[in-house]
Amino acid sequence: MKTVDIIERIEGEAHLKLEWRNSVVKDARIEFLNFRGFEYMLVGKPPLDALVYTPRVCGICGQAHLLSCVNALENLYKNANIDLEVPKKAKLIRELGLAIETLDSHIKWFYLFIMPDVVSLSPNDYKEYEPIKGQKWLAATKVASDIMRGLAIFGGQWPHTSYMLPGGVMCDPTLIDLATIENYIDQGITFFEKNLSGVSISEYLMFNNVEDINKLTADLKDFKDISFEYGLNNIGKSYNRFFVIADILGFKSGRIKQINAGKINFEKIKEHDDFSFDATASKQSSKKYTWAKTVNYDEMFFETGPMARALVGGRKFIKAIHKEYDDSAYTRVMSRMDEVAYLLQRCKKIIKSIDISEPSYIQPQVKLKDIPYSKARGVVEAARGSLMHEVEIEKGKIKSYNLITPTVWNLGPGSKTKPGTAQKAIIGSKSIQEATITLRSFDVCSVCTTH
Amino acid sequence: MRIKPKVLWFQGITCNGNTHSLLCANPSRMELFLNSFDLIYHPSLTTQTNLLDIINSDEKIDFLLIEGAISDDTKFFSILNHSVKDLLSKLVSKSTYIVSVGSCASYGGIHAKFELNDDITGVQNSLGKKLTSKLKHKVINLTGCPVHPEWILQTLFIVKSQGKIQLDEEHRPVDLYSTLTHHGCTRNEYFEWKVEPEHFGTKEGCLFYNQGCRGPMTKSSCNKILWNGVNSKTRLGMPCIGCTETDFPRANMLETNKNIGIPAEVPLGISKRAYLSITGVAKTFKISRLQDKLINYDE
Amino acid sequence: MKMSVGNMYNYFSSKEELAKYAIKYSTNIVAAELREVNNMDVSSKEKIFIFTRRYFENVKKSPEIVEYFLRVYLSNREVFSNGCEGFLCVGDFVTEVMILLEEGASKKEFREQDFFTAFSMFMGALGGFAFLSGENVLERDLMEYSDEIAENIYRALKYED
Repeated sequence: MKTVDIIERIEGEAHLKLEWRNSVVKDARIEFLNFRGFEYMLVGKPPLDALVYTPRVCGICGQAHLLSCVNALENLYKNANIDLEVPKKAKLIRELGLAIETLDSHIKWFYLFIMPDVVSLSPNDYKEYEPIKGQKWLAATKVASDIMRGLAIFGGQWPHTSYMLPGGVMCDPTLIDLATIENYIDQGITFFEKNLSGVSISEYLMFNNVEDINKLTADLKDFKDISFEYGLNNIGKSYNRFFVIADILGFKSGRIKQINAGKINFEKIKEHDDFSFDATASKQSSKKYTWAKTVNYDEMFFETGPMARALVGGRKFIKAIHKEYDDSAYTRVMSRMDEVAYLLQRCKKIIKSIDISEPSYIQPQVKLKDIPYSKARGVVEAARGSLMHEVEIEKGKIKSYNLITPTVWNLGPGSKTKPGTAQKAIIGSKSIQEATITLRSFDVCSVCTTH
Repeated sequence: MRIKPKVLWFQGITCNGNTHSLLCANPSRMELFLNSFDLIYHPSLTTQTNLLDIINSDEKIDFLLIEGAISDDTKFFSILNHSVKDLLSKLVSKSTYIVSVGSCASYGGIHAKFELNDDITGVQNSLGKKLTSKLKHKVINLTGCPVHPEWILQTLFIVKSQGKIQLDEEHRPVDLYSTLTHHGCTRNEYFEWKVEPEHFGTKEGCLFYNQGCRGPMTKSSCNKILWNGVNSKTRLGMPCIGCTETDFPRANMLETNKNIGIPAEVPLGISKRAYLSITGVAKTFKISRLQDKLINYDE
Repeated sequence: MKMSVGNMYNYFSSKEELAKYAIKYSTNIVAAELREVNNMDVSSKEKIFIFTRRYFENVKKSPEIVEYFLRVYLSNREVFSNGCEGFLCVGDFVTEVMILLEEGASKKEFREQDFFTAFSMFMGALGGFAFLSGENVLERDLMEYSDEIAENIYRALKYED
């Protein structure tokens, strides 16, 4: 038996095609039918214009794209053997921007995208989580927009600013700016303590075994209660392999295959399009079914995102939860919310380490336009996972631009012999609801997946 | 109009930036908006309703808000198995006021740069003159990439109260798009005295001469209604990229287009002769206060 | 100027005042000429030729004005430092040259280069030749050289692919 469900409320749209046998999902296909073609748009454009185009790949993770783009553009200098100095202050401000955007993304995802589905599993009254009307929904959008003011202070606005560029950043914040940004982070901490965990952030960050889950009161307790009641800690398991591409925000790059951690060799990252539509073809081959490409490492599929970062980085609480509940939907969501506490603390650390007397920007000796040829990549950890931009410039113009987004890692169509990460997680589901919640636990950002 | 007018948010070819900008609205304003209007459907936010059900019902929509560009092609883009234009047309026929939220919905925006699909355009152009002339009110364009949430809220509140809103030649509300980005920028004194920053990353200096700021040529409220309630791009040192104008995105947005060292474009409505004369005079005076750094922190 | 020195001081409080006024007066004439040329609907190349001709006509008609600029201004520059900073006194004329150059480059008739190098190519050729004319070393009538000078200026500024 085959079923098709159109999944909305996922930053775009996806079609979930399931093949059932004996009431269990035997095969799953995630179809993305929307393509905007940023990689085509960028060909022929002046290199610095990529700083304006790439944030617009996605409205919620635009700054992750911006940082990945800047890293790639700066590496163009390195690969052309041209020295380029970037002040430490600029690097810290960039990281702060990424952290704030990631916090906003995690909070919104939990309350706007995940909880409405989770609470619908239970017959109990959870009307505070109701979209638009519920107090918790409103409180979440409020704190997300408050934290975002911090980014607007040094970025000018959010969404869509291009305040980072090769050589540094365009802003030069004052001491009051830094204090104000910290105030907004503190508001985020209050929210985490009061609304999410119910315990102080310092106590939370000391959690290191699975029993500590029971110390959580507030909204994370609601999530836990429903998850355990309805088995979210048993569903949604995939390959149990984890991938982190960038050393940034204190996250360590690396991969975990079974229980061995290892370093990243970029040559082993391969993008495939066996099942992906061809933009230039007038007629598509029948085996192609989605605009998403797929990517694997050393021919294996990995999961990227907050769970990967927590495990590769060795964060104790998530490690303990994972030991008990594997890479289930519950662990996946908990990892993301755990990262809220981690990032809030990290932001405070970054702000305190900024030396205001440093310059914000050092003009590169050479313009990108004047480099005859170069090729480079830039990597970053975005909210949903590892993000990579690869750029090639020639005679003052972009010759090629390739993006591999985290959702391609997680939601790509797999290979001829093996299903992709989310596909694997969905296979074995015993109901549509289970399949849908599993899919959602990966945070489907369809605009990024297909770009 | 209903006491709580029905608002439906439709997404075409978009990055979702305008949705996330709306979510950044001042919380009291957001609360007022949600209490004054009935948001019956948003593809990312609402859960109780289904777009096709609404389309197939007799339900009438007061405000149709569209985010994203429109295309009739389905090779590259389809929504619920329909083309974007198909769903748009069906929704327009049930709606009283049509609001294009963002540059993409207004004229195609950044997505129109995808050349493999030559049918990517804005709402007004996609629907065509024949259809739009039959509407009770002209299509309202809120250009911007993204728009500021206040531009959406203020437009809705004005139309709710007055039944109409005055538009400029690009169909943008005059109340929001009469001033220039330039008006209210904290670097204005540097503009007056032609003080250029040495490079990016300084509190001082005007970004018009070298960094490509389109502030003096762009209609927006960006330095009047601050972004996220606190700031604007030009205030912090990023040039305005002119995203509310129909030539966005341009080429070389982070540098000023100059011919033999002279800006190719001068502030809106000002003749080149007038501008260069003033510039010439201002440039001859080196005012030390304006050459100095604004703040010198103690070690 | 056919006026006694004593009488002149009825109009100007000092030598300096007189100097500044004379400079402004002479460049205003030239600025007005170039503005007229700039407003013509012809190619930028054509404008160089027309303006060169008019400039030399002015030099021929009132040689003392150019004389004044070259001899008095250049040797008494400190007189002009207060109230004539930089290009202030000759502002109108410089504005017109800017307009001519910018338009020529935007139409891809002139190539991209720094403003000052382009400006000096233009004014250096014209001013230098006026100087030679004042020295009475030219073999032919000044106007006969006009088109060749204009051709040199044009070739120096012209666009190349």
